[in-house]
Amino acid sequence: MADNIYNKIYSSSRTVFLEEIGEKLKSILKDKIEYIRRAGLDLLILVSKNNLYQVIKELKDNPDFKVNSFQSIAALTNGKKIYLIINLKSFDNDFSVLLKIEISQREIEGDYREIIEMLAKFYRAVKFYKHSGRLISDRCDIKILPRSIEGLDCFDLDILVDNDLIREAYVSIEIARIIGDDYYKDLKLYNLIAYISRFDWKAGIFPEVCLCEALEELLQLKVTERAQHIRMLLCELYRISNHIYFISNICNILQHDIAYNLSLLERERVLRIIESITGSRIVPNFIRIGGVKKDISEEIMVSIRKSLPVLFRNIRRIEKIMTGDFLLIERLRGAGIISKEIALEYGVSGPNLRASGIRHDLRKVKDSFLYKDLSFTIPVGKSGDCLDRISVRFNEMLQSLRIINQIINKFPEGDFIKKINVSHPEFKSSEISYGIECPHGLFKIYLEADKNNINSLLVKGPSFNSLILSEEILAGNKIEDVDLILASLDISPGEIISS
Amino acid sequence: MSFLIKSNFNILVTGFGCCKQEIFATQCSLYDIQRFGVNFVSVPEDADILVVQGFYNKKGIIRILNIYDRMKNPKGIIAVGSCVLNENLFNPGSELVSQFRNRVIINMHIPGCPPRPEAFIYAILKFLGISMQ
Repeated sequence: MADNIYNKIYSSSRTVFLEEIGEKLKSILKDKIEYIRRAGLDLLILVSKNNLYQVIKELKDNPDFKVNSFQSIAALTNGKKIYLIINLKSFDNDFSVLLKIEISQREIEGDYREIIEMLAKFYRAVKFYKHSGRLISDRCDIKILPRSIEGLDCFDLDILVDNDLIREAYVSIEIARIIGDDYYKDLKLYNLIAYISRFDWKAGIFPEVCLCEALEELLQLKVTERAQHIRMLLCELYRISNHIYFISNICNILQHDIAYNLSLLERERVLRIIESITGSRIVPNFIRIGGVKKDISEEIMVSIRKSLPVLFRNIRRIEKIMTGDFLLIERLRGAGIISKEIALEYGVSGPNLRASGIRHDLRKVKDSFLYKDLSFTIPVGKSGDCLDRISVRFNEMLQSLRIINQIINKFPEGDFIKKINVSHPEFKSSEISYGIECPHGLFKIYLEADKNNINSLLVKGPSFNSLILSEEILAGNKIEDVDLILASLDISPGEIISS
Repeated sequence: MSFLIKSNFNILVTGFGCCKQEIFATQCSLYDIQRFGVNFVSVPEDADILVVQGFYNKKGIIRILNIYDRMKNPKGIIAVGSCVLNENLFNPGSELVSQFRNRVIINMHIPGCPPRPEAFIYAILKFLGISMQ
């Protein structure tokens, strides 16, 4: 029985590949780093502050690594020590590294300005951190405060203009900084799972799945096939609900009332299915370590099977209404273009990256879920403008319906949860970085644990990178397109409160 | 609150949080809050009711109080969700909520995390004095 519960996760071909790169890095940087080890998706490198410049230079300039994309920077505390975690990625060689640096309390209070200025020499995206906290309100032409539309309500925008064209744009997220550093300290594990879906309330299941899968990998626990199928089903349902809410936001901004009402109606249809499974609409609290909270009954399966063709027909109808309106198309075409190079440089992921023409989806790359058994395609755009971002999401919804159809046709029998002792867990390894393809992009969690409890936790949502990018792409566009471009990036405010 | 009853009733939703989706879901034709003459506006001077929901920090609270001052009398506040009702979700020790409550009078609370759209409609109808027949 114990073997059955604690059987090991199979190592994939990617594991070997990452370890190869780790060995190579170790031999090149051996006297500059303290250790290098694999932590889930990423390579974790502990560096002292003095050697940081040389390490990043080597990572960026060496053609074997080509770490050319900046992902995120965040501070975390473990006991009395404070660390800075810098996440960098190489798209050419398809791996990412976490640089861990120990810093003092005084540097945290000064917003670790020294390190940021050093990083800004290598990566353009870091310049956002240089001016964050000090907006240019005194010399800006237009100041735009948070609006009531979801996604545009968590930041201030200062704009410098040339007639009706935007010259420069500055984003400040001061009002969105809500979370204290140690909110997770007093929480039990099952409380943490309930809390974490507030980090992305547009699609609440994904943070839960990400956290539970990370903890399962720490516990070396393999989930049953039925539980994985239920998770996949919910993920795809939430993906559809998020994308259709995105479409309704766009229609709201464009004042296209027919498509707006129709899309909100379809969203309700999806949310009712979700509610019949989980009992909640927005923040489900449904995933557990080792499985899910509840089984899906045969009646619910029948109702899902019945509503699939209706959903397919209605989503196609909304798409037809929107693409048949030439005024809409002309407004969307050519607005807020993201080129391939800029998207990669700023670490954008998800549909925004795919709209720029890069076929990258974690569902196809990583094989922790059972997506490899299902057949679906990844829609890709061409030019990376607003129209492409919308059409990619429409196609993704149709692909999600296709996935759901396959899932419910071969739903396996078996247990829906493996019961473990959550009050006294025994973690095997100490640190892990785990990611999942959420509707906005790559949702990532980095956590450190000792034998029995979690010491530190970092949550990094993809919306933050899109927000940084918005400063870059707003320049050159018209003032009336500001709301449209920002909404087309699909920013989830919950991911920004943790930054 | 009977003095607030009129043919057109305007609501201003502030803040960002999970409840916002459920509040704006009442606009869709399934719930259709507009049949009661309720509209969502974005200018404080037009609004009769301020809806407070979601997460706030110090700056956010100051902004809400400014918005409330700009609204014309008679005016009211509805607090939606656990964040404002009990305490700030991610800052359990913070005094922001109690500070806010000392400054203004909250006319109605809607519990839930987040509350369903039906709960929001029910609260608005209670506010308007319309019976649920």
